[in-house]
Amino acid sequence: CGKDFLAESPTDQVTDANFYKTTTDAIQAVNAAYSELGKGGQYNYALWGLGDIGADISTTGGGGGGDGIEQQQLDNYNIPSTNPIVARLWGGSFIGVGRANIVLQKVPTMTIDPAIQKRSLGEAHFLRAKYYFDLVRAYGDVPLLTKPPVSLAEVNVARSPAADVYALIVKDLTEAIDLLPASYSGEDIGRATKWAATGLLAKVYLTQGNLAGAATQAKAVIAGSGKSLWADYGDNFKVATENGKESLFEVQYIAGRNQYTFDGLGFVGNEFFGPRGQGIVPQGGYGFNVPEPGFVNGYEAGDKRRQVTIWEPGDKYPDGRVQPASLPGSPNGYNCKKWFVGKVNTNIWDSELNIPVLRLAEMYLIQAEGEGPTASGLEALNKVRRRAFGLPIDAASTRDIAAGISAADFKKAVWRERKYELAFENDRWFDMKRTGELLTSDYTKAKGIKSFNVVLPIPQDELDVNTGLKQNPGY
Amino acid sequence: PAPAAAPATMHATLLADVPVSGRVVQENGQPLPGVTVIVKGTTIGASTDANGNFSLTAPENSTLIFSYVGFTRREVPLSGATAGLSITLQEDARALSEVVVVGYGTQERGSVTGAVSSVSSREIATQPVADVTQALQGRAAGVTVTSNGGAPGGAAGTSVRIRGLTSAGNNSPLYVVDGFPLPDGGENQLNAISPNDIETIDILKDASATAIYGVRAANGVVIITTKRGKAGVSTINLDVYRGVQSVWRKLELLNAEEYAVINNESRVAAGQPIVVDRLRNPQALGEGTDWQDAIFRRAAIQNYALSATGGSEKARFAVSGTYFQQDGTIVGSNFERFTLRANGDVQVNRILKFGNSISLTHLSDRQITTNNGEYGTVQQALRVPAIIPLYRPDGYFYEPRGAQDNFIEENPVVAATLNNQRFTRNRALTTLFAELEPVKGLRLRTNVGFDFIFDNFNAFRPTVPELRVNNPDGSQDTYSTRYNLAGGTATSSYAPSYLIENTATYDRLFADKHQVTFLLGQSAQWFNFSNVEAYRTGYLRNDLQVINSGPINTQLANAGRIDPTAKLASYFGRVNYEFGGKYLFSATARLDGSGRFEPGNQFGFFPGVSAGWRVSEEDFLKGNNVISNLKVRAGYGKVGNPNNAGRFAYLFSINPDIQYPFGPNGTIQNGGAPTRLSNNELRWETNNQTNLGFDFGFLDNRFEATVDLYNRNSPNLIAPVPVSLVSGTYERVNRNAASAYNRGIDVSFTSHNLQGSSRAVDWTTNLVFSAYKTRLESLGVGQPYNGLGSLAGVIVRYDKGQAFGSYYGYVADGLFQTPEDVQKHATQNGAAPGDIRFKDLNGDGLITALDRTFIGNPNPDFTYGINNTVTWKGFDLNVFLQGSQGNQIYNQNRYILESALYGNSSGSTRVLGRWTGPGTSNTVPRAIAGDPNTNLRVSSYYMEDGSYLRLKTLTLGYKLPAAVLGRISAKQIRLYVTGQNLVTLTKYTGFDPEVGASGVDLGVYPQPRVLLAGVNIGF
Repeated sequence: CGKDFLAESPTDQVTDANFYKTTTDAIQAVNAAYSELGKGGQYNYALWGLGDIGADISTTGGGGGGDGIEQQQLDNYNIPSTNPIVARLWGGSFIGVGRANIVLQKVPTMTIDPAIQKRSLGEAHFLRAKYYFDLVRAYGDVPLLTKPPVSLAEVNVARSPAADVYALIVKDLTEAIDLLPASYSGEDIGRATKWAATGLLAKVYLTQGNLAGAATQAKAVIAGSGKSLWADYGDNFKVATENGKESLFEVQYIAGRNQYTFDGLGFVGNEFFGPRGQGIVPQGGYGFNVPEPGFVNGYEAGDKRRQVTIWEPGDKYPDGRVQPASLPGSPNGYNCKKWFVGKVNTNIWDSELNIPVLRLAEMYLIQAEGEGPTASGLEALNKVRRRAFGLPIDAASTRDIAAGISAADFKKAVWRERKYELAFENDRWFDMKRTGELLTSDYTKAKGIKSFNVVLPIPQDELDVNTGLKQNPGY
Repeated sequence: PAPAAAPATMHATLLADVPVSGRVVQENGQPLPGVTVIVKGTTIGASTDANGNFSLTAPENSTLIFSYVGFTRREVPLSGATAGLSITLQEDARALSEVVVVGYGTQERGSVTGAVSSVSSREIATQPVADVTQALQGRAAGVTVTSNGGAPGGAAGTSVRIRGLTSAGNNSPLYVVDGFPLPDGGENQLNAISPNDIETIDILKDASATAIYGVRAANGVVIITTKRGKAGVSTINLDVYRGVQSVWRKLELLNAEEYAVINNESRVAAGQPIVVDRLRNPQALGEGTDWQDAIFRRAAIQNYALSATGGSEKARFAVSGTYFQQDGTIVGSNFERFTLRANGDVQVNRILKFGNSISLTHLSDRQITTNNGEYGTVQQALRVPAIIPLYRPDGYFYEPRGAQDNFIEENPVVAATLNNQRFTRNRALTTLFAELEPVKGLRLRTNVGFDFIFDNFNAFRPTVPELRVNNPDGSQDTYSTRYNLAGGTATSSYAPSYLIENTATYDRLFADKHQVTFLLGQSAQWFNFSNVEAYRTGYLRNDLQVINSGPINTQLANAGRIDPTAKLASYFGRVNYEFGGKYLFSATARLDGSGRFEPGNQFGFFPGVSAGWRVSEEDFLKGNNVISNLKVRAGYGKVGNPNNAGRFAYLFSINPDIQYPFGPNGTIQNGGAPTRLSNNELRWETNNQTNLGFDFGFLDNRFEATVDLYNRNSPNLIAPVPVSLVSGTYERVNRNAASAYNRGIDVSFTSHNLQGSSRAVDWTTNLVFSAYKTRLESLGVGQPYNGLGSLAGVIVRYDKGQAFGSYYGYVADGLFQTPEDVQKHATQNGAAPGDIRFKDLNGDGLITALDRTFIGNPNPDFTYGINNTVTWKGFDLNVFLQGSQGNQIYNQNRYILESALYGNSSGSTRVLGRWTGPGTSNTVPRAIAGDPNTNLRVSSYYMEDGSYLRLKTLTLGYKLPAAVLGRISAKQIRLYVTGQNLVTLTKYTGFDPEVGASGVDLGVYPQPRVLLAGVNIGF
């Protein structure tokens, strides 16, 4: 009787024995690959720690002393391999890769709705490329896995050269462009489109130094996606206009589900970046990610992006009070405003504002950088500039960069424009690395950056368990 | 007929049988019913009736053996008169009991071949503890008992480790109460049982003894037998004690002035402004608040136990009711428990008897946030600076304010008292048995039982407008918003388990010499668990705290879980063979099947064999004047531990908790992916144990000793092998990757220093000593992996060659004194003079995580208990010392206490001796906000010697003389006073060296010092 008595199966869990069968299962498998985007390993913690605070536009802020020690370490280029931001970015990205790999392994053989099947594979290719793109830029050579491992031997593999990783990214995005639809409706809005994949490919080419390829892809997006720039820059960062006309791909957030976690369904930045202790966000505001005076002062007069991006002394709060001249952690009274939502909920600290991953303005800037100071390159850059000053986007203006600028100066102008256009969009560290500013800017030099800081350390916990990994030099 | 070759000296058949009768009484003249009377060397026997009378027929010149649990066995030669014998049995202060419960049966102590320790009710009763396992501390050799905290009711749990550690995971023994093996889990299993109800605790230690419990026996087996009725004697007992408890040690913390000095200095050193104005003038601050006084208090403890036992040969009963109540020495914590028990035995006719044990418990525990947890009440009280007042001028509690106090943690008294957290448990544990003896010696027994555990946890956080603090501009201070919104949580869980067992036992003495006992049995047990929980917020009132009085639309969480039934199917057998009372042999086998594992891998075989030689029964030692008892025992067995395997680990399970919102309205969609790699090779852990034991008695057993040596190998321990995140999964994978050994020695020694009749002084000393050495020999395919961590990072790490639970960190090497010191040393980021110098162990010129090593471990070199009992006339004095030597404590409290140097927390006065310039200190670092050198990292700097010697209990009792008793028709009245934890000698600087089995002090709830007075009245 023993065998029957002991025959048990899980009553409360789904296993691979009964999963990966239906159309719904395929969709869920893909959703799992998206979910890491919203978590601490990506946009909810790691990417703003590295992309903003790790760059020249902002500093840690917070409560001083040991508060935000992990951000301080990135801020000051004194990054131990135990830094949790470093660990989360690595882990979140690889978990995303792993889930995309499962989709790519399981979905092709499933008998399901063919449209969903095709789309799912496209999404998985896109997401794998996105996660690997972050990994290769942040860590350099990384292990390259293209199918789910079933044994430790398949996990503990050596790091592949960055070039191989880029090759996979380009291949994935090329396939994603073929497989993905151009747009979605209803409950599918927020999924990756063909144009998201094309836009990401433009950015990948730009990062690789393939300027012509970057410009081609960017122009394809501008021409084909049906997207256009908002007249008002600020409309990119409002809940009401999420997934809007300028948006190519966003991290989707909703509010009020989770408290005190980087891994919920809402964005923590409303609380973390809120002016410290001012009470204009649910838990009072922690005042992290404080804009640097050098960055704030660099805005051109009349640049409307400044008011959207920065809290400055005297700025009015929704309740009528104003931002003080200085705050804890922010001696100049600056705070990051771009992701400010206010009191979305009485005491839940996360917010529903999506974070753009790619938007059309960046395509113009990629086109400009790719084409150089040609007529169309200049026009692409100037469209973004005109919008920044509240001018008609398609009409020449006094704010335009004039023709005749040297290629070198033009490139600097595009880089500068990216800095202000995409500020606090988690991109600045990657841009500084790409352009070389990371090691050459006065700001980072004053902070004591060392040449090996162009990549992050491999997380210590990973080195401890994975015999395939070796630490980056310098760490 | 006698064999033809029978030696001529054997005249047994020639001797005539004569009738024998008499009466057995105790020393005080009370009759003793139920005493076993056996004619030596035969199966002829009888037992005494309600009045202590017996009669039987015995061969002439034979010897009668009188034995009874708790009394010294007596041999009386029959010569001369054979009627009207008057036998007085003395209460046995030496052997704990004659009969030892060995699992599905009992054995006489002299026949035991395994390693079994027994603790009697007498020893348990002397201690005011809620959890009976705490009373085992220092009482049984080889059993290490560590309280995980002094929370009332033993609610923090008690770690019982039999012969050290066998596993990196669960190391708790299997508890069997009145034949019912309790479900595995947790270390506060037994606080639902009143210690007053317990008759004996038998601890099966070695594998030859525990193999009868097979797959669950790897950590040893604790068998608890509750009191049962005895024929003839009816007694009513009332036991009452009441006492007070207090914390025996306070730490020296900074007063307000000292805090301000240190805090200012740390800010200046870091180039930060002093933001709290009143800190600018430290002298004006004075002493400030004593937060230890604020959270600690004198607290009551009381116990009332009423029991009645008695019955006849046909039916016997033991019923009891106990109320135990204990306030915690920290405000906001208290515990109470009601227990009812009814045990009955009915002899229906000559061949059939049945009986039952029923125990019902209700316990209720008001908890404070996290015992032994960072941000628990103890650590919070250490954090709060003395400059922060407990109360506001208007008499209400003060909440620290971010802006004005630069301290944002909660007032710990508010946290402990306003948050209403209550755990309640109702438990019904019942067994029913029927036993049939169709032919003499063959007993067929069926045992069925259930254990129902109903747990509730209700917590309510009130809304307290009074705690709101406004900023100067009228807005509410951020950090006083904690009590803006009331919230309630309700969790309800139900854990039933069921048991059916059938056993057949056959006992027979063949040819006068071959005593054989066979046991065959079957057991099936199954366990269920389910729970539901809900959380609501925005309650409009604070007085209605139940979940349904909260607004339903705010129900943020409702969750539940129903586990699949966990089942065990088992078959077992045992043979005991005893030849001529000299040679003992025992073999056990158990086949256990567990539904946790992959079909095909469910069954395991667990054998045990042991043998003994009672050397003192041999002719060459018989009658020896010095050696009165000598027995050698040896055993080997294999047992298992399924607890660390998890369930269905052989399947690739899809984590259902993955979500992502899509669509214009952010509709949550489910995701599905495995978050752990599967492992279909997973098996339970096993260990193989060899035991060699010696029992000694000298000078007519005036000195008795038992020494056991053991060697235990665990070849396939489950290690949660962390998988690189490169795998795309993040959960550790359980694998039978590791192996370990555990060797040790258990010694118990009893000396009857002075033996007197009832008038003179009687003084007995018991000593137990236990030592073990455990090493993780190999991790196999696994990598070293981290265990317990803290705010400072990982503390415990498992690695080859290390003891279980070893601490891992940097090696502190004094302080840098000068800039040159820093320069000369390996590059250590952020270091400056006055910071801790860490050793560059790998010599790469950089201080990195690779320079961590093993810096200590929580396993003691040895533990011991010394118990002295002195009686004189009506007085009894018990002095019980208990201690642990050579264990190390990672004092994570000092992370808080020394954070004063680096930030906004308060600290201990130790920081007053900080480094302030070259040569000023080589031990306490400089004050600098932000701790740029990370002096707070896990390092040997925070390691402390955890050895201690404790006067655990001191009891003085007095029995009223019989003359007084007669007048109030009581059988016995004993008055006593007891002190617990009166003296503790230790170098440990925390509150209490008993910090739980992990040895990491995360703010443990300290053990109270207890003073109590009590009375036992018997009618």
